[in-house]
Amino acid sequence: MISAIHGLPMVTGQSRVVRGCRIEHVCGNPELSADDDFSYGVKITSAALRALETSVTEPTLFDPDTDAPSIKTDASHAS
Amino acid sequence: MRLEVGRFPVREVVFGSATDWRDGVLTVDREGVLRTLMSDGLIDSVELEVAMPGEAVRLWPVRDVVEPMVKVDGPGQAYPGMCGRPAQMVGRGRTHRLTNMALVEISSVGWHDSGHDHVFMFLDMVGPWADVMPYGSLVNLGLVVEPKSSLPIHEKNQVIHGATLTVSDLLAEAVRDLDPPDSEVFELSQVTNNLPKVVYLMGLHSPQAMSGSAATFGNATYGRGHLDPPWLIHPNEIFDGAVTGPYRTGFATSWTMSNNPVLFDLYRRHGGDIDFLGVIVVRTEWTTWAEKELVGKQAAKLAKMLGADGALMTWDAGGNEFIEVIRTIEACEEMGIKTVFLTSEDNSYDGAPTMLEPIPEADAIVSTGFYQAAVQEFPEAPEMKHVIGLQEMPGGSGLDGPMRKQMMPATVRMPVPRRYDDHYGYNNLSAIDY
Repeated sequence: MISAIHGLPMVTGQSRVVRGCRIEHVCGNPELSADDDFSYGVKITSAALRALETSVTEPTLFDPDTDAPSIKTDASHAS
Repeated sequence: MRLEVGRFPVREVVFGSATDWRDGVLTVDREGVLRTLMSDGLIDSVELEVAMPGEAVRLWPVRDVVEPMVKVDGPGQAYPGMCGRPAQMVGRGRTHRLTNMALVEISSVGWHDSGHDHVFMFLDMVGPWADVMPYGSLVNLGLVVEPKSSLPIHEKNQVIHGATLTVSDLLAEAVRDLDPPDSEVFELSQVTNNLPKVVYLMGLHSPQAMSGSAATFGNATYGRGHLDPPWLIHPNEIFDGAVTGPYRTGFATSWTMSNNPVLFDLYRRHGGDIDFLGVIVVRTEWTTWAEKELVGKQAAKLAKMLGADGALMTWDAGGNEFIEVIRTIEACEEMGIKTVFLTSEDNSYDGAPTMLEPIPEADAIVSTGFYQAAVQEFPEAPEMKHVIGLQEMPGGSGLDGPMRKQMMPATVRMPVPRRYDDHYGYNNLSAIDY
């Protein structure tokens, strides 16, 4: 799931969560130039594809801004 | 900051040749009021009608409910900053209020043109819906305003609400020079004994995110409706209308703000068992996770810097605004501020929690019921004899379903409006665990 308010799907138990931009612009950022906005959208999409290729055992956050390993969050207060 | 509030209770509103208040009867110069409103040429039609408790009358579509009040002494004007009124600081001196009555703003005009924010609130003067809304027991004066259709939406909103405030001024002017039958002084005097210091965190959602414009009309602090950092506000300012509706829910009105029972209770206990520090207005409906976290932490920091030991938090929305609210509570608890949350609850789907993100820090919660009227299982609103406002309304469940475009007479028996979220604890519903 790509979400601007990524903390919510993490605590409600979504397996793979990609950090989106804003609630009203999940897969882009209108404050960027058209070219940069497009690149940012590609990064988000790439992160989503990377998420699909990754095996997970708990809610896991994928950050489009970094190629670092995916972030796992303590989901202990998910209910 | 000392404010004396003089109350002039209204038990009846009648129309006459001059506007005055005598022994609870408010006489309104209806023709004079309507002439004043029509004089600037921005309004197509305007109507003024009385709705008494117990009458089979429905008011629809309701945008705001306003208590008429006038500054008699001290700086500023009631409802400052709205619709071009001066944004001068209020909360000092003396204010006269017409109580037990309300001016109900009615129009077909919505908040903005971006969709999703339809006005779908109606009020009844009899039946189950009248029983559970705070306005059902008030003497209501319905003001139906239809602005010129050629105006842009922003101007339409200014014209409609501006008309409401003009009428509010004209009515309250009648009691400016009279001695109030009842008055109360509000002052956060220095507390000498060592009482727990309590701050009120008032979540107030901004219409900016939904409409995409910072200029969108809606609930406001000194007329400012856009997303901004937390404000530290003296409760007296709120009594004078510095924090106002209207927006979306029947409980997010100017009337509920200036009559907020949370404020009155905190105030009356000031110096008794608590030291009430003031109000932090926390704007919600930011649209990124980072902003939501920032706002929560900044609101909590303000509370900590004020020296708060405890906090009480309310909010006036549903959905993603909850993130700012719960982050504020979480941050307060992390800083050692014990926090109580007054809220309505979500529907419980398949045993899911009735809060969007339950966190262990939110361990003191007062529920005002379910926010969805259907879950609350209110009986249907009965058929009415008369409607003040539009004579038709969209059909379908709660006016907000796929049947929206099917029109039906506004008098008919129907489900109560979809949302029943009592933000400030007005209702007298109770729950029994069995």
